[in-house]
Amino acid sequence: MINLKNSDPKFKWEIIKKEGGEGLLKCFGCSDCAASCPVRYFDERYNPRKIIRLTILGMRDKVLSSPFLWFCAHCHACTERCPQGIKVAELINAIKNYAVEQGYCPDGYKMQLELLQKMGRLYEVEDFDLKKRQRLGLPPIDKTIPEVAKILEQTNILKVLKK
Amino acid sequence: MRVLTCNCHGLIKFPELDLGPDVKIEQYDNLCKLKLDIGADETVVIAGCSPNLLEGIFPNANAEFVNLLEHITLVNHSPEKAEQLIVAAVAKMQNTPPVKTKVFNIKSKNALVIGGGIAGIEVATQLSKNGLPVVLIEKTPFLGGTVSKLDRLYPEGTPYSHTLMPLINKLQTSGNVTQFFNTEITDVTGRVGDYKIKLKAKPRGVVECINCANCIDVCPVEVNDAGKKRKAIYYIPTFPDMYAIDFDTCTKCGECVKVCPGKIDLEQKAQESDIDSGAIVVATGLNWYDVSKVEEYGYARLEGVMKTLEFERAVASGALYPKKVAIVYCAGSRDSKHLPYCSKICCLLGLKEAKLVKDRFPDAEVYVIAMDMRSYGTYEYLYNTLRDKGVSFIKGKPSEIHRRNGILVVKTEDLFTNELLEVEVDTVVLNSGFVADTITFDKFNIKLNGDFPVLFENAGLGNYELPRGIFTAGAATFPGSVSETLIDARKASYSALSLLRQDKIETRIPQAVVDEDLCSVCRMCIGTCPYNAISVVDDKIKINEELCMGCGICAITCPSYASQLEGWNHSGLYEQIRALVKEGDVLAIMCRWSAYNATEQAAHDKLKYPENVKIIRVPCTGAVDPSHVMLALRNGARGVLIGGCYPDACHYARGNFRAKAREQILRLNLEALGMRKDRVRLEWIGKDEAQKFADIVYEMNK
Repeated sequence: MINLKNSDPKFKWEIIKKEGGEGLLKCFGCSDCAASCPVRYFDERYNPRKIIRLTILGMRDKVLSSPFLWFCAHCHACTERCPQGIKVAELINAIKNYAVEQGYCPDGYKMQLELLQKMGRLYEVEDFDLKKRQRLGLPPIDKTIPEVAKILEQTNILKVLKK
Repeated sequence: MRVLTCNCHGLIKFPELDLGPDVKIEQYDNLCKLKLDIGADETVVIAGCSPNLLEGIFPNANAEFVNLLEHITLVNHSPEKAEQLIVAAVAKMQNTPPVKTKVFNIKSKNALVIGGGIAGIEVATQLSKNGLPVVLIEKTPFLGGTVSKLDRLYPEGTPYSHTLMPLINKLQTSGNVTQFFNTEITDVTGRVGDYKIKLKAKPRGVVECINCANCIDVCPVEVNDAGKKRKAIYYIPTFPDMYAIDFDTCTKCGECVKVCPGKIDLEQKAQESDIDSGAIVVATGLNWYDVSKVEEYGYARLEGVMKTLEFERAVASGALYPKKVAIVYCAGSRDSKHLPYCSKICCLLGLKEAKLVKDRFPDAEVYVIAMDMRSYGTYEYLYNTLRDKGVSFIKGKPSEIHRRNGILVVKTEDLFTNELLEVEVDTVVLNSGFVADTITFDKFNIKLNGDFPVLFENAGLGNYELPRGIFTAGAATFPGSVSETLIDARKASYSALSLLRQDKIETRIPQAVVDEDLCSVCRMCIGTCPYNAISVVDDKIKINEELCMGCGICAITCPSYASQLEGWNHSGLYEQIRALVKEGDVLAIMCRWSAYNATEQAAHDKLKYPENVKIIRVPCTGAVDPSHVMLALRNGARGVLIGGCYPDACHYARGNFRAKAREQILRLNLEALGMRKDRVRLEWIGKDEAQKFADIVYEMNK
C-alpha cells in the first residue's frame, strides 16, 4: 500500500542531483528493464522498474530501506535496452549512494568495508594459502594491503557511513 | 445483345460459339485499350480478364463479366468450360433488366453549414472563397464553439486567439456568407441538390450595442459558465461584436435596459426563416460526456471534483489555486457502462491541464492517473516535457474518489509498482471522453458507429460516397486536435464544393427495387438493411435511393421475392445457374470483395483446382438465396461453396452474418432431405487466400 501522504516530493529531485540519477523522470514504466534483468530471473522480488517508480512517487523510506535495492548485479542489460535512454544501472547506483549517505547501508556492506580497511582484502590470506601457492610455484603475496585503507580514507566513504 | 470477347494479347483461346440469332459476338484483341461505347440501357457480356479491371473501363455497362484469363487460361481449364461460362452469362443477362441511372439535379447552389466552431468557420470560408453562397448557422450567440471556451490549445499551450481570430477574420472578409446566430434547425425536407430547411432564431435581447459593458455592472444574475463566472448578459470576444442575453437565466429585471446607451429588447420574439440549400455540412462538434454518471468519481457530489473544461477555465481565470491536483484519465471512457470507445484526444487534453498547472504554479504537485497514455503522433514530446517537469504519472484506473477528513482521496492500484495507492489532493480533474451532437445527426439520418459517423471507413464508403449531399466536418466526424479538425473541415468543404459545382449528379450503384404488387409490407427487410435505407411510407415499403448501397441483403430476406437487387435479379441468377451447373460440378458463389479475388489470385499463384469448379460473382454472401443453392443441387451439383469476407470485415457491415445464419438452416434442411450436409459450405476466404480456396474445392470434390 502506497499512501502518497507519506511521500516526499523532494526525494526525486535529490536523486536527480546525484551522479547517474539524471534520467530518473524519463521513465514511462514500460518495464523493459525488469524484463531484461538476469537477477530477476533468479529472484522476482528484485524489480528495477518498481524501484524507479517508487522513487518518482517520492516513497523515500520504502525505496531506501528496501533490501532489494542492493540486488543489482550491474550487468547493464537494462541500460542497453531502456527505450528512454535511462542509464538504469547508474540510476540504481545513484539511489544506492544516496541510501548510504542517509544511513541505509546494509550490514553486509559495512562488514566488507571493515575487512577492506583492516587488511585490504575481503578474503583473509593465511599461512595455509601461502604454502599452497608455494607448492604451485606462485610467488608469495602480502597478508595485508595498507594502501586500500588509504584509498578508502580518500573517498570519504568511512565518514559518510559513520553519519 | 452483344458478347464482347477479348483475347488478351493472344493469351486466351476461344471456342467456336453459337449463341443463337439474338446474340452478336464481337472479338477484340485488347479490349482494355479500346474506348468502346456501351450504352447504359444495353446489356452485354464481356469475356476477358478480371471484372475488377473491366468494371473500371466500362463503368456504365450493364455487363456480366466472364473471367476467361484467370478462370480458364491461367489454370489450364478446357475451352468447353469457357463456353459454358459464356453461355451461362448470356442466359443471366437475357433475364436481367438493366441497372437504372439515378439522376439528382442540383437546383440550389447554396451550401448550409451547421455549427460555428472552427470546423464550420473553415468550411464556410473555403466554400465562399470558391464563389458559393454560404449560410452558416450557430446555436449560441457567438462564433467559436468549443475552442472559444478553452484557455489554451495543446500541445504548445498557445491561447486560442492564435488560431480562432484569424479564422474568424478570414470568414468575415470572404463575402457571401449569411450568418445566423442563436439559431437551430426545426425541419428538413428534400434531397441532395434541393433541401428545404426551416430555421428558428431565438432572441438575442441586445439589438444595438456599443460594447460599453455598463450592463454587466448592473446585472444581478451570476452564472457559472463551465467553470468561469459571468453575468446573464455577456460577451465573448469572437464575433459578432455585441453582447447577448442568456434568456435561460435572465430574470428580466430590466436593470440593463436602464443603463444601456444602445437598445435592449427583453421581449424580443423568435424569428423563423426558410432557406434552400444544395449541400449540407454538419459541423456540430463535440460535447463532454456527462461524467456525473460515473458515480464512484463523485462529480457534482464532491466539491473539488471538476471536469477538464471547468478546471481549465477556473485556473486560467484565477478562480482556483490548486496545490495538489489529481488528473483522472478515461473517466467513463473505454467503459462498457459509459463510453465504450476511446475519444483519442483526451490524453493530450489531460497533459495540457497538467502543463497549465505547472506553468502557473510550478510548486504544485500534479498526479496524472491513467490506464494508458496515448500521446499519439508527434504529441509525445508534450508527455516528455511533463515528465521532466516532475509530474507524477500513476498507471491505473481509480476505483473511487471520496472525502476523508475534508480531503479528497483518490484510490487506485498503481500498475507500475503493483501496489495499492492512495493520494490526497485538493482538486480532482475528471478527464472524460466526448460525445457528438446526435440530435442533428438524427435529423439528417446520419448513420453512427457508437456516437460518431465513422461506420464505413475501411470500405472507402464515407459519408462522402453516398449521393446525399450531407457531409460531416471536424469534431462531428470524430474528436480531433485543432489541426485535425481543420484538415477534416477542408476535406468536407472540398466534397461539398465538387458536388455543388455540378448541375446534376448521376449514380449507377445497383439498388434494391421493390415490386409493390408482390410486397405484403411485412417489414422484415427494414431490420436487415445495414444503411437504414428502408422505411414505410404510406403503407408501402420505400427504399431511399440516397442511402441504398446495393448489397442485396433485403432482396434475399424478402419472403415474397418482392425486393430484387438490380443487376442480380433472381430470374437472371436462376438462368445462369441452370445453364452453368452440370452433373458433378462444384458451384462456387463468390463475394466480389474478397473470395472472388482469391479465385483470381489462385491463377497467378499457379495453383491447380479441378475443372468442374464453376465460379460466379455476387455482391455479397448476404445476397445468396437458399433457392440459388437448392437449384444448383437439383441440377446435379456435387456441392455449393459460398465464399465471403471474414466476420466483421463485410463490405456491407453484416451481410456475411446473414449468410452464415442461412447456411446453418440450409444444412439442417439438407439433412432432413437425406443429403450430406457438407455439400453446402460457407467459408471465409480473404483476397489472398488462394490456397485456402483451392484446398476447399479439392475437399468438396472428394
